[in-house]
Amino acid sequence: MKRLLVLLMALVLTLTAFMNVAVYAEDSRVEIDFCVGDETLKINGEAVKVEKPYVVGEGVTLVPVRVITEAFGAKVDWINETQTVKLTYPDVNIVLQIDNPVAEINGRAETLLAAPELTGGSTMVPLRFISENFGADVSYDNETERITVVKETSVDTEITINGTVDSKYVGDSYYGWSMENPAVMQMTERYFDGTYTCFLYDEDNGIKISINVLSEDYDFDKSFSEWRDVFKSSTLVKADKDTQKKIMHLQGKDKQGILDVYEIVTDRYVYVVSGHFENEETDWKTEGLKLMETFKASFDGNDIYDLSNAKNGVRKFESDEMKLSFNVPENYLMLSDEEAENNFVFISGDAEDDYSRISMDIYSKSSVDGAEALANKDFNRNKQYCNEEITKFDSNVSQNTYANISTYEYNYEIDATTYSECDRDVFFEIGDYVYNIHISVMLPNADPEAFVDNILNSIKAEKLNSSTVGEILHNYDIKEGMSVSEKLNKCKMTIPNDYEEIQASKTAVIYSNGSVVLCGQILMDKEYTYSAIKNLAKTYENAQRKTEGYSIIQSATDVTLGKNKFAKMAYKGTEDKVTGYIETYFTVSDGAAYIFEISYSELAYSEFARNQVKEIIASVVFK
Amino acid sequence: MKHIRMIAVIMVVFMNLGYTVFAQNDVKIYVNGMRFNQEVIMSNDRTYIPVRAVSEALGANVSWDEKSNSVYVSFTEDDAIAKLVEDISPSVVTIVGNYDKNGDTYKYNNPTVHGSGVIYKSNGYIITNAHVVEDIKNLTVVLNDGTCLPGRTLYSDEKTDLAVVKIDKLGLKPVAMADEKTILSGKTAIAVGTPISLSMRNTVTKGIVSGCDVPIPGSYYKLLQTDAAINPGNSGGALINAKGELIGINSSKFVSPDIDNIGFAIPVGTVKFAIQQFEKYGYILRPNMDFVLEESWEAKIGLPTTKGLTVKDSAGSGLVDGDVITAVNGVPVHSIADWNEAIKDTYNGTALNVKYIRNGVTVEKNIK
Repeated sequence: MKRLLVLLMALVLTLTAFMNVAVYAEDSRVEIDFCVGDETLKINGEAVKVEKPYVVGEGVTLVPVRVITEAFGAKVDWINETQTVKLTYPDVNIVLQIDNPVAEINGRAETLLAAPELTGGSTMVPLRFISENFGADVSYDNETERITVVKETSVDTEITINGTVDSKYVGDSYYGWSMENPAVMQMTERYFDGTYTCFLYDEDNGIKISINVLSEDYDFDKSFSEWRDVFKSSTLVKADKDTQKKIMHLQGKDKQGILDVYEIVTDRYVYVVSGHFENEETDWKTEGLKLMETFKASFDGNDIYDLSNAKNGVRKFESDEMKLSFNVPENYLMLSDEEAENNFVFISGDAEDDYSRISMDIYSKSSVDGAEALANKDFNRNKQYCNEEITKFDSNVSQNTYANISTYEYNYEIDATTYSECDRDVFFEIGDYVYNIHISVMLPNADPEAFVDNILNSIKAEKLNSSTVGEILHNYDIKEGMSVSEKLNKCKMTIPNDYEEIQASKTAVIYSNGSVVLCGQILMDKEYTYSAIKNLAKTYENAQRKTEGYSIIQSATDVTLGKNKFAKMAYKGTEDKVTGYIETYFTVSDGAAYIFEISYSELAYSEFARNQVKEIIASVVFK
Repeated sequence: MKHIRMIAVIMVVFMNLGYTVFAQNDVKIYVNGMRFNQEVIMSNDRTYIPVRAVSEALGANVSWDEKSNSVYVSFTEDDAIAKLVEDISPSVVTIVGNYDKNGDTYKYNNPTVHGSGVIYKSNGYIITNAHVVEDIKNLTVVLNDGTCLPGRTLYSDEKTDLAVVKIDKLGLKPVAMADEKTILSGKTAIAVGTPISLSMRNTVTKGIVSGCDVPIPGSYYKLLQTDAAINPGNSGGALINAKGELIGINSSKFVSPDIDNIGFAIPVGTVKFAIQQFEKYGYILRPNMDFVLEESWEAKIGLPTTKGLTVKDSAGSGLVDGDVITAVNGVPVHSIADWNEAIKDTYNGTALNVKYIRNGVTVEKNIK
């Protein structure tokens, strides 16, 4: 009795060894690692001893079928009469026959480079053929004779293609507008800051929506008449304005087509919706005009697809080419061109006199000698050119880290007559490029440090491939040296090369380095003497004295600079919330009056700049 | 005694349970490469197959007339073409995605672009045109049966205009590649792909091979010319012969009010070359040419000529401006297309053997 039982069980056991339960490791990683001639293979991290794999024919490695089943979890069936091996794996069924070079994959015949063999009781099958069909990559190292079979875990199978949006309305939750969904049109453009959206049927037929922040000097009626002017050359069909609701609607047509404009003003923004449709496109015209009627300066209701990229108070700016992203406050506008590659500038959009801004520039490392070098160069230059009275710089460039990026940086504050701000200029390197982000925050601000830190901590930058991106040169090198100018009639002077000639004629010259402007002019309407010119200076001085917002720094005084005597008068003034300093030098030569007027922005009124100007005036030589 | 017999019975029962799938004999029948699984009978050294099943597997029409006990098997060219289209369609896919030029992906409505592709390896490798996958985002592959899967571009080469897209799917039916030598002008050419609209997925057009190795301005390599209708969307799709083998990857055509039926496919020889290079290096190996070649006016207009290629703007590779190259690696070259093809066929990463004429003297030299 006992013996019967044992036999049966043994039989059953042997059979189940062939009809093993398949444990498909389809979603887990598969790895087989061994050298030709090894008896122990590493299969999915475990050492497994098997019949030695060997190579036949032209480099075909045969392994025991057990390697396949252990690694991939495939099911194997053996048919003794026909010496056939059947491997079952999700989506792939392979049938192999001993000494038959023709295998079947899902019923399709395929000729193998070498036939499977029976060796030492083990069925040896071609490793590459089976592994590749099971989705693995097989690599062979010629030198070490090592074979590695790897199948990565499967990636997700979610398709991500997107098409048209089918909600009833489309709009922007940040700027507060919505319109019926122009689904048949293509949205061809949408600015990063959301201030411009364009839907087109084709390039001559479509609707454009522009948003502008309402400024103090906006005049509804003036805007209306300006729009009427736009329609001067066409037939005005409609010109309605509702001064209460602050909505205007104009429509005009000509031989080509029809232009329809709505301007809506709320307490924060001015919305301009303009549509152009060609006369021959009757369907588009009817549909388009109807769509425009549905525009509302509000984002309320259901089923509105939100185009706004503003989330949690910020917009995430991304540049795919520069592999860079960082957060920009949601009320900021993008000043740089949408097409710009290495320069990104954003300014605060809310108030007109809020000059807060963020600018990011990227340069080739070779062009600027690295982040630390550029940081120090900019630090020293800015310190030199900025008015010491109103600025306070860090004592030196320091190091910091934001979001795993190590940076070189310096801070400074400006406390000018009409504004205050604090700035941080940050430099870092990744790969072959140097990045410079400069953030200016107008004061008062609740927490300027935190504001700046948040932006810097949001930066994500990946290493750029310099062969794809190319060379980016730093473009504002200060031109060294001086040049002699003889443009002004009978007057020679030496000017630093970073002053550009804006205008030059015999009677008037203008030079500027961007923040200091030097004008020289000649008066030849009569014979001038020195005392006459001194009187002129005094008259000028009195005029400034009487002007509101102006004050005299230095009353008309005789000074000798270089070879000449000048009547020097200096004053400062604030107009339109901008403060400037002006120095004037009056002199005569050969009966002609020469007047040199130098204006400095408040920020540029530094000792360095003033000395530069003194040297220019001192270099004046009359012929 | 008793218990041995019982064991024998049990053994037979177990064996019968598992092994009824295959025929009782050893004969395997494959019809057009596909295993034919129905029962086959061997008798007197003759193999008998079920007539309807095998005929229909071939694409023939079989009708049975009960009254006269007759079987009518008819097989026309039409049937053959229909069968081969049925067989090859599982290997042709549609590649669709969102157009992404300048990184502007609009969430609102993304214009979609599509082309076609051909599966060349059962574990998800697809060959298509490089211009189909350029600037494409959210790449999706649609299989013949309608399954949509995300795909990614593994390799791409602008000069061959070929790219490889990979999907995570096993057990796909790969296309068989024709032997280049069998491709002749006049032979049938069938294009399978998705022209114009996704609703025309895997539609078929038929024509002939109009020309082989045709040099076309704008194409780095020579192309196969066909009059099978090819339209936008067919790019990357299959051009097959009457045996169902791939002879080209459809890529372009001439468009003009006075031009009809001139379409082009990348010949299968170039496809095989590209796949081999992608698998070996990840890109196509080409020599670093620090000189520019200028072809004769005859070559420019396509007139046969024995003139060679003139070297210009040489930067010291051993060649000098004015040298006239007549052969490279043993292959005579008379046009830039000839040169590109010769490099494709012979370059293996080492030096180039160039035969050229300088000051009337023919020289043969190896240059790097």
